[in-house]
Amino acid sequence: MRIKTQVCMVMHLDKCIGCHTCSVTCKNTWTNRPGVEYVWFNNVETRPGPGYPKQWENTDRFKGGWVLKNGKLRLRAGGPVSKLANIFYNPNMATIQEDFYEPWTYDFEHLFTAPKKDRVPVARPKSLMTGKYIDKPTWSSNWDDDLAGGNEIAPTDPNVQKLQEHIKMEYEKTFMMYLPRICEHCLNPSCVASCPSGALYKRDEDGIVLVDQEACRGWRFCMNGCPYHKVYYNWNTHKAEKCHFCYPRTEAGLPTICSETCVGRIRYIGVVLYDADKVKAAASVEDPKKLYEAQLSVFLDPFDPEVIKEARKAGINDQWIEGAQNSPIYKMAMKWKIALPLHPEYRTLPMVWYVPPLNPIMNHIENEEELATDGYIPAVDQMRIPMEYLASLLTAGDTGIIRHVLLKLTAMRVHMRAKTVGGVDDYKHSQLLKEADTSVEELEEMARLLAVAKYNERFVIPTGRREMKDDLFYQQGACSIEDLAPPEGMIR
Amino acid sequence: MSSIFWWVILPYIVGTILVLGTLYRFAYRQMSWAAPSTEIHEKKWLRIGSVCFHYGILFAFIGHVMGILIPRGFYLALGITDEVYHAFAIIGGAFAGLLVVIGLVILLIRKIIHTRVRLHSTFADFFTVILVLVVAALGTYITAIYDVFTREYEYRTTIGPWFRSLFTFQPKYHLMESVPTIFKVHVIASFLLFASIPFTRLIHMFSFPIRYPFRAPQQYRSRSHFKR
Amino acid sequence: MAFAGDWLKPPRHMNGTSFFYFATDQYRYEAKVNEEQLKWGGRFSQMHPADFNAMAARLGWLPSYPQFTQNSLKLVKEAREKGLKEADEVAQYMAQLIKEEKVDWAIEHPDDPRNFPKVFFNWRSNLLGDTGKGHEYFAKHLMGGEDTVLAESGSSWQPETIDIAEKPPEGKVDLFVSLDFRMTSTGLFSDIVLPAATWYEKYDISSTDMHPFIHPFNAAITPPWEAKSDWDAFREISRVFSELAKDHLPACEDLVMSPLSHDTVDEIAQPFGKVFDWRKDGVEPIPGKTMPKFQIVKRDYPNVFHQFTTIGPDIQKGYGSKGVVIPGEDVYKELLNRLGVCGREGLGKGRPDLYSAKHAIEAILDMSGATNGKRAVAGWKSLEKKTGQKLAEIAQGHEEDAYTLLDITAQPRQAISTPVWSGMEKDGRRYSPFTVNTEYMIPWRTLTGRQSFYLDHEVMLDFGEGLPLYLPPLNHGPFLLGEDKVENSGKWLTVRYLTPHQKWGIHTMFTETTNMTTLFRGWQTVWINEEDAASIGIKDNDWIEVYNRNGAVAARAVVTYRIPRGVVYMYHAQDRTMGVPANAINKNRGGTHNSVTRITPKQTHMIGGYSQLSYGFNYYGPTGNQRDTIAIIRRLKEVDWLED
Ligand code: SF4
Ligand code: SF4
Repeated sequence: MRIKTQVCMVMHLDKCIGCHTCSVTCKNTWTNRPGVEYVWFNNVETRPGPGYPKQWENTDRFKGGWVLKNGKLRLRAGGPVSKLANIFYNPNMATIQEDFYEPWTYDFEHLFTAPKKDRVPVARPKSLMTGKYIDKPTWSSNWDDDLAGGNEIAPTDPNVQKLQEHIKMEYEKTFMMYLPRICEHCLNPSCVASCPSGALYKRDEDGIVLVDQEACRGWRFCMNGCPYHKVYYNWNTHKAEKCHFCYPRTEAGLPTICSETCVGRIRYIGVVLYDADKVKAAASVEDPKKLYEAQLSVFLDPFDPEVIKEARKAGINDQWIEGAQNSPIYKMAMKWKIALPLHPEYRTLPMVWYVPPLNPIMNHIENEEELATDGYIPAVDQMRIPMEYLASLLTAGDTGIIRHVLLKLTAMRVHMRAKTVGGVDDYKHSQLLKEADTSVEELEEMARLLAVAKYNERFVIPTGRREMKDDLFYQQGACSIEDLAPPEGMIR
Repeated sequence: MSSIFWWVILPYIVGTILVLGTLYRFAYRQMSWAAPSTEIHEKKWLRIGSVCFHYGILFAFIGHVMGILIPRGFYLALGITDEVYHAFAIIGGAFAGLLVVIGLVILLIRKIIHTRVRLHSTFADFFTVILVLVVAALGTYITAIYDVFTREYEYRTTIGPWFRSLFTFQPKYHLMESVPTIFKVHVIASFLLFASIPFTRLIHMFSFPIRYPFRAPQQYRSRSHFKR
Repeated sequence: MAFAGDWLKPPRHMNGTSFFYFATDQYRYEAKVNEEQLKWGGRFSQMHPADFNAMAARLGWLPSYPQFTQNSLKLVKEAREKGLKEADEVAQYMAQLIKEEKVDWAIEHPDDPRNFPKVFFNWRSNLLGDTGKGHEYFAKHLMGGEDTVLAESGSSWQPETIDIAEKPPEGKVDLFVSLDFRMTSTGLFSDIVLPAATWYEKYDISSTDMHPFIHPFNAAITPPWEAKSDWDAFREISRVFSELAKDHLPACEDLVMSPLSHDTVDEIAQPFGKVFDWRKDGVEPIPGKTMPKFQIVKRDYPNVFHQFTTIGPDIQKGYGSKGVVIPGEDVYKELLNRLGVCGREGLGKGRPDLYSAKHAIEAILDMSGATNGKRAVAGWKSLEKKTGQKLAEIAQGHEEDAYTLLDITAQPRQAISTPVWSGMEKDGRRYSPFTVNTEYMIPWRTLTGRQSFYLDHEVMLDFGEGLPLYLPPLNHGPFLLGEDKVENSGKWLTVRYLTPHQKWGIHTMFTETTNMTTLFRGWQTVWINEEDAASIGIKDNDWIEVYNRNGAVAARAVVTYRIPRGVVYMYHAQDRTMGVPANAINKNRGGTHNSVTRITPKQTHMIGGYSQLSYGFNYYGPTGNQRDTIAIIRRLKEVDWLED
């Protein structure tokens, strides 16, 4: 057993209102500079839609993540030798123009300097890449917000293209959901494995995946090596940059900026314990539909005395163990199993989990008065978002798991509704409870965490660990002048 | 006297700049140490240009090792006659040189014509590409035209020993006096190029990630390990 | 304090909808509503909205400003010269003058140059880029700028009681000043733009009923260059104004006409919901009964600065709003202590100092029940007297609370429940309207004291709206007969045009930063159903224009199947400062989302003097109504930035 700790996030999609506050606060904090204008560490996609960058889920095109070849785990884009052979030109890499978008601004200055005229002056759009006027922008990080572009754009969603059943995109059948995305801080990150310089690494203390800006040489294999397309190339510094889970904040016990500012309060952060020795095997399971279960098998029960003993041996302190015990992630993803990994078939073991959205049903439930608990079971099967679609996002196509989660969420609503307003038949013996494989106690616990949990229940983040061999005495006075005063000191 | 300057003083100045400059950049300017790719702006032309150029320059490098660093005696001892060597060198060299020149011309045109690439290129970038192009063009000319049509010059007895003697700090500069001008120009231009390496994008050639295939795919690092 | 009530009362308020309806001459372009929808039609529903509004002003239902074509300072002076001493006598005298038609209602002569709003001070509003419905009419008649009004007054429905000039005036405003830190297109129309400090450069407080907190604003930096906080800007203006007034505008008396107002005895001025127009129904014009009230206010122009910068004596008589009165003696004493005593020579000397924004904040925190427990209790006590219910306990436990700016800077504080609002914030509850009414048996502010569904006012019945009912959207074409002269050879579609609130932004604030515009598609866009779009050859992101008799707007199309056929959405407040080319109709800058809308006054909102149907500032009165209109959409063939 090789116990490690990992900070994770759960996003409860039912509550996402698509406001993009997370994107904006993240952008303003981290990527508001030349070189990364096109970069959104956090972005929110309207689904169905191609996402950002366009069709990032198209693995044939970008070749991200891992594949199983003869039972062995291989980078889809090719291993080290083929990477070195391709080092002068990366055939799978995205470009700003075609796959991201040409960032633009407006000539605001003109509004102040325009001469007096009959017509109101206007700030024209201007490319941030060339500084030249453009007539109109043609794509952005969120061009297809709320199904903008309709049938010209939504069907380019790779998940839609994969669906067995042809779905019609029309007013009466409209379905829509938001998918906020950050880096998954995977347990088996393909970005790390793709980096020729070894600049990308996973932190021992919290599992956050970082790019060492000094070691990065700009080879760019991480960009498309990440199947979630969450590593970006800064064209100004010529180095890779990515979401770093706001580690300066989490180290202080604070949630990431995107979570802190999330209007829908959909985000939860906590730590989990896992066995690093099991990661490879879990990622190498043959059947993609089994990957979700395999992924769950690497986590350790933080209440198990054996695990606690081992964790202590591995240098994990009590606060982190306690954090793992109180972790909302542990509850939602491992205990209740209502939070699912995004595209487990990429085999990177992503660590941002999603509670799928409940959504309106296609037809009217008739006779709502008499609606018995079990009447909700068919309702789950009639929801507007095709279950297959959700399965394509979250379970490598296994609709059974999705259905189970939706049933559980429905059961929770039905129960809580019954509890406050009454009107549902004897719940304890209902089929819904059985099919959802849950209990009233569990549902109430879920309702608390999903609906009313306060800040300190949603974010259980132990402060950073500093028991390593740092020269803390030196560091406490040196942080901001490191460039001038190298840590080793001038004389030593 | 001038030959002392060109074949003794200049090489050592360049060597010093190259070594100290690189060390300086390594120690203090890590953040700027990268292969400054513009693939994110443009892919199509880069694909041809960059691949041609880089593979060409790799071959050319091997060629120079074979021609300059390895003494003639070595080949003779192996039983490779001068004729065989030269035939091989001319064909291989011309091929490599052409690859480099074609690649560079494509890259240069791309740099000039493609707006975004141009706007994001610095003076140093243009300087580098043009200088490499000059050096490569001269080299290719020497190999493919001069050697074939003018005369087959045996640089392995002049330039080679002189270059090697630089490393033993006994520079045999007089060997260079009889070398045809065109070769001299090629050599001097190359030295200018070497001197510019620490200050330009060329620095990335020192970081070819040769260790990559041998390391574990996943990298774990402790925070303190990393932050020193 | 907000309306200088500590120095003089009443303030001179005007409701914006009526004001702009007349000031921008939109009343000239009414379309007669389709007969079908008027079948209850009687005495009022057939009246032109402008006639109705003039009547509402005349009967004291609504405020009306400017008041009369004649100067109100002179009117008082004349009355005094006639030896009238008491305010009552002056009011009587006014009623007489009006009856004898010796003074003219300004609302009936909106195009008399004497009634033009010649100096216009626009404070923190994007009047000319966002809020003003019927933007092109604003541009044409109020500002005299480029406009794309395509309607013709000749073919429109004209009022009967309004005196209409032959040629509608253009450019009524001589001087337009903007003070608004949100740099909107209103600034582009202004003669003077005052540099305004933003949120992070000044001290301020805010609260809302959407959340329970009192928020501070603290200056992270000082206002750059010459920028000033609103408080400082107005104070400096008052300083100079007062200096100039010494020579040019000495102290005098003013006549203020005000409507029968909410939460006062005026609510029973016109009982039984019957309408008696003194002009023709044979009743006497009695101020405060059958017509507006007339009050005399002493204007001390040379001392405006001192009045601005100190708390006036009248606070001691008690203050409050919505009928709740808080005794003021103690408050005044506390304020002297908390704000410090003004040492500036003049009228304000010895009074509580109100020089800076911080003073004003402390004064508000001290005086408001939401931030001072004693005031909350006093407020509830005042309501106890009226209702006979035990209410003071609502604020119990808060008597000692008295938040200061430093307190709320350290951490936003929860507001204390006050009778000004109907929600309860006690015990960590969140605001929800009318909770005090249901839980403490406080009567609703209605005729019956209960929630009212039936309104028996004559006008309501005349409109057939005595009970809530569904009315279909007004159905008229994009143009009136003979108006449409727009050359239109290509394909086009008539659609219902809606301007819902936009997804990102508080009015125009901050949606115009680079990052925010990148969040979607930049400006400006109009959403359209994809089948509709395809039927007229519009593809996603194509340039389009939307127009009707009110004007035209140029934008880009967002094509989708998410909205039904037959409607287009233009999210409101995109402003036209960014990325808007010329329209194709008259090659003017393609306007704003409000270029195709206009003010649609609703007469039933103008009823006054009858219980809950009484005008209250920022509380009850006519709104511009929603901007639901009919327009034509078509492709914009070429893009002209009007740059030469
Ligand atoms: S999601 Fe993050 S950790 Fe996972 S492969 Fe991509 S960049 Fe690496
Ligand atoms: S801030 Fe929260 S609710 Fe808003 S888009 Fe982001 S994740 Fe969704």
